[in-house]
Amino acid sequence: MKFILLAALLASLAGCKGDLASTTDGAGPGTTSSAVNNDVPINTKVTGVGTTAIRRLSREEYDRTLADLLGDTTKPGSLGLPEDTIDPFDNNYSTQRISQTLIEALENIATEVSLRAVEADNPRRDALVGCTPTAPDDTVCFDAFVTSFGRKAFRRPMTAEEVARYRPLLAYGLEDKNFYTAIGLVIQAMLQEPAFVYHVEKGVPVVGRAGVLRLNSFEVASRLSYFIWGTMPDEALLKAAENGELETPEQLRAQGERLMADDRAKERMVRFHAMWMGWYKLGEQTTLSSAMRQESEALIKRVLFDEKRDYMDLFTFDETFLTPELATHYGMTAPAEVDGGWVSYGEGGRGGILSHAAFLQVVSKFGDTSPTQRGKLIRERLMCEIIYPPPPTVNVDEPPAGGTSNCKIDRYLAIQESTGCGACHEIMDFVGFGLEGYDELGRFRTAEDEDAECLIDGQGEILGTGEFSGPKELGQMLADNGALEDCAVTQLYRFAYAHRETASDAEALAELKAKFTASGRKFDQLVLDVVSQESFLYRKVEGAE
Amino acid sequence: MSHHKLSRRLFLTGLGGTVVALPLLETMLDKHGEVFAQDGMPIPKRYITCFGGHSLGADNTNVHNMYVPDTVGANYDTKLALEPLSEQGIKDDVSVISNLHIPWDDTAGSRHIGFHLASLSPLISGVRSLADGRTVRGKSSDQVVADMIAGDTTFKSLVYRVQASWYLDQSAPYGRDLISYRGDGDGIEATVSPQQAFRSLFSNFTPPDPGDAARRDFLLRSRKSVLDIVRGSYDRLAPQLSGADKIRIQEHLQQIRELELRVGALAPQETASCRALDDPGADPIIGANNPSSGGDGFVDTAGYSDEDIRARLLIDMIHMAMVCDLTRVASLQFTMAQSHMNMYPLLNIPFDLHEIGHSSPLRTEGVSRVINWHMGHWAYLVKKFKDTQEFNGTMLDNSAIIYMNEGGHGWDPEGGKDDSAHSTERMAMLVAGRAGGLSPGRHIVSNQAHPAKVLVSAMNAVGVVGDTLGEVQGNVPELFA
Repeated sequence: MKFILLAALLASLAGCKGDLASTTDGAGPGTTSSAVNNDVPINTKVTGVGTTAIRRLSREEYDRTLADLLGDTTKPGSLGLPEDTIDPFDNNYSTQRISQTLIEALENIATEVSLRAVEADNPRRDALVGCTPTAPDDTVCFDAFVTSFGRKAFRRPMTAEEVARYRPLLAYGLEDKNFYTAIGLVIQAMLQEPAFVYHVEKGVPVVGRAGVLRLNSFEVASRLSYFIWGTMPDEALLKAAENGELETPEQLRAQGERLMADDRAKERMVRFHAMWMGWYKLGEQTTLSSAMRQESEALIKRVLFDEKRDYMDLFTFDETFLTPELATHYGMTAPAEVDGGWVSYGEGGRGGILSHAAFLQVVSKFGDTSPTQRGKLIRERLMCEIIYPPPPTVNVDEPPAGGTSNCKIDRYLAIQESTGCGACHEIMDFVGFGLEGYDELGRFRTAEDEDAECLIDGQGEILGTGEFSGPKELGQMLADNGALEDCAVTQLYRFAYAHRETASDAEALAELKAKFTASGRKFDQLVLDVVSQESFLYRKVEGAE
Repeated sequence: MSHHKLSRRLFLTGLGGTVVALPLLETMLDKHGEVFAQDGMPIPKRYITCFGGHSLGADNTNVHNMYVPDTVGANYDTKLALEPLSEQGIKDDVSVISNLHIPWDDTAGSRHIGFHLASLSPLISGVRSLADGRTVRGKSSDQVVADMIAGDTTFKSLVYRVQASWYLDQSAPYGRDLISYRGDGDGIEATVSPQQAFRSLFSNFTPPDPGDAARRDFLLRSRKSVLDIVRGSYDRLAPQLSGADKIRIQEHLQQIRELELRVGALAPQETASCRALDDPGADPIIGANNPSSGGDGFVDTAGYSDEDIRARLLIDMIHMAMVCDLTRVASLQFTMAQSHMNMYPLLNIPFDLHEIGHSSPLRTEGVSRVINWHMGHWAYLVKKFKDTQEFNGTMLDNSAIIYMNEGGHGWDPEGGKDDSAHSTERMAMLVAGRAGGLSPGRHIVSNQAHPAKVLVSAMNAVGVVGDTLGEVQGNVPELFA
């Protein structure tokens, strides 16, 4: 603690980033009360630091971490942990609760998973343990396991004192005449501990800045890997933390680049888009729904990763990946490949991800599209606008009635003539009208399903921006007007930091938006800008004095 | 655990299952009519709240419900929604209280005008909801009761939910998944996993086979050692944190401590009636989300996780936990408020639960079939209590089991229209059991009483003193008449 204060003091005297030499810890247990290198450079004048509270792993993060840590791919978290609130992301700390059922679920899963890990016929067991016990109470092998496994499970090195705390469990190995019984109990314990269950960011207090902490190197490593991969740091990242190589923007950028080149980053960023646009669980229902998901995933991977195109191409691209079944569904020419292939849209209203069934199926209502809900989704999720809830005289569970005819568009227009409704409804409904030519499963249509007399012209408008028809023109308009571009940055920021932005985040966000535009709107560069921003190394604790 | 507690529990469970009809003389009645066991300790009372996320009627029909009996008083008739009460032969053990009413005028116990979330707060806690409506603002009745009667039972209360998932991609339940609250905004997350509930309740019971018993003892001891280490880690971390971080880790620490106490508690002595249930095995898989609420694009296999099986298992566990006096209070949420559970696998109606009330051509009949499914499980629960002997009566004689639901039928102040499912007019509630002098078997038509008054009566029946729940004062005296 003395040393931390000294470091902080020196940093504050310098008034900007300190340049104290980092010391390094090896992979083995340290001998002091902390094996973590807290000797990090601190800028007491850091700006744009967001406020958060400690959060636990989301179910997705939990399952991915177990897969990487133990090779356990049964996804027990998604079955057993309390359901995450998708708001629109699954990691918002403010939506998490502590409950008896959470604690019991953590214990049950830890027990099951640990038993599986040490089963005699588990081919991964020997590699996991890393040494061959000479007796059921082999302390050397036991301690070595606790040290090496603990470092991975806790995403930081263990102190000798910590390692010693598990020693009583070895007695159960002796009693059971089975060394691996004790190993299982160590796993059972560690999977319930705060260093595994939570993103613990204790950091180093920044002098003179109430509640502001500078993350230590291992906490930075975890931030990096959970943001980009949704799982624990790999060995290279832990090594970089140990060596104090996660300090400069260049170092962070280089690590970010390495992580982005891994398939785990593709999966993570697909999930980001799926939650953002509202189809994160699509694909489990039918082969058609699976093909819908595949279509959007393929475009995200191609634009963001494989070709690193202008991010706005995601909303305007003129090719799409279809299986024959999905092509038939759309009434388009099927690709030659049985498993699906890229097909050009050619002429017509489709282009980009807003043409995909995955997006168009999101907010159907009453067995049909809802222009209001689609408009709301686009305004709120893609343009980051705030749409206030309807006034207390409106029942939104009722399809609109009235109007000059029974055609849907007339019924919706009638809402806008209702006193007090028009001002909000026109900003949503006019956007939705422009997608009316595409039904709730993304199929093109020129008339209403229920009434062929009701023709759909598919003309829509973003008030204040311009008129459009169909998803391609909408995508182009959103790409051109800047709101989507800024909003994409905001959404990624929320995902990266696991909270909705407040005033304290404004500066960091503004900088990221400017950089995104300057980079030619390259998504991978945006991710790297996030992780190499100085505020990525800091946090402010909610409610801290 | 006190010796005093142990002796009473042993005594209770020792006789609980055997069919020994003791003459009334061998029990003692005090001047309040309280039933005492032979050792002078009162027989525990039990309180269960059940909830269904449905109203009583559908939109755009003047058929308000197929729930409320035509007959007032005893020997009431059961329509489509309540048929299971007749089928299970428990009509005489259940009172129906109809014409209940939650006002929307910002008075005590009123609801904000928005329907789905806003009705929960007054319904379960008696406290009015506010405009944002996202939370319940008072302590729910089950938690009030638990504070009063849990004693030193291992589980202060059980909080279970049958509907396993929210089932919608583009939103979140925001409180529609919670019916137990410790206080304003402090909702208790429910257990949805029968497997987890099973382990939590029965893992320290002694298996009959001595070899199994030795193994269980080993597992129990090692589990305690593991938890000891886990607790130590939270214990050491908390003081190193500040602000909201610290509060969270302290809460987690508190929950670990409580888990340790439960694990360390003496397992009840098994008897003919108190015994560990069979392991239910792996939970049914969680179903996919609903891509649509009904109509075109509806996938009839999504939005369902074998809730029919889950309901049965969770009820069996609540029952056995109470037989063994592991707990005296439970809440069981069958379906979430504004439930998007797919009803097709259960009823062959191609809509989610919520949409049946709005769009299904079956109208109120569709809603009544939804209620009928809920009621089948609720009646099974009541029947199980009725079939369990306890001294000279049944467990139901010492219980109050509530069924409440989200809405009634009638005026919707939000939409400004009548005959709506989004209404808190013409609500109804069921109370089963004879605890504390409850006199079931009748249909009581209230004069637009607040539903929380029914809860106050049931709370009184199990020993809560006072006449308020949240802001609502008064009870329904006819329940005791």
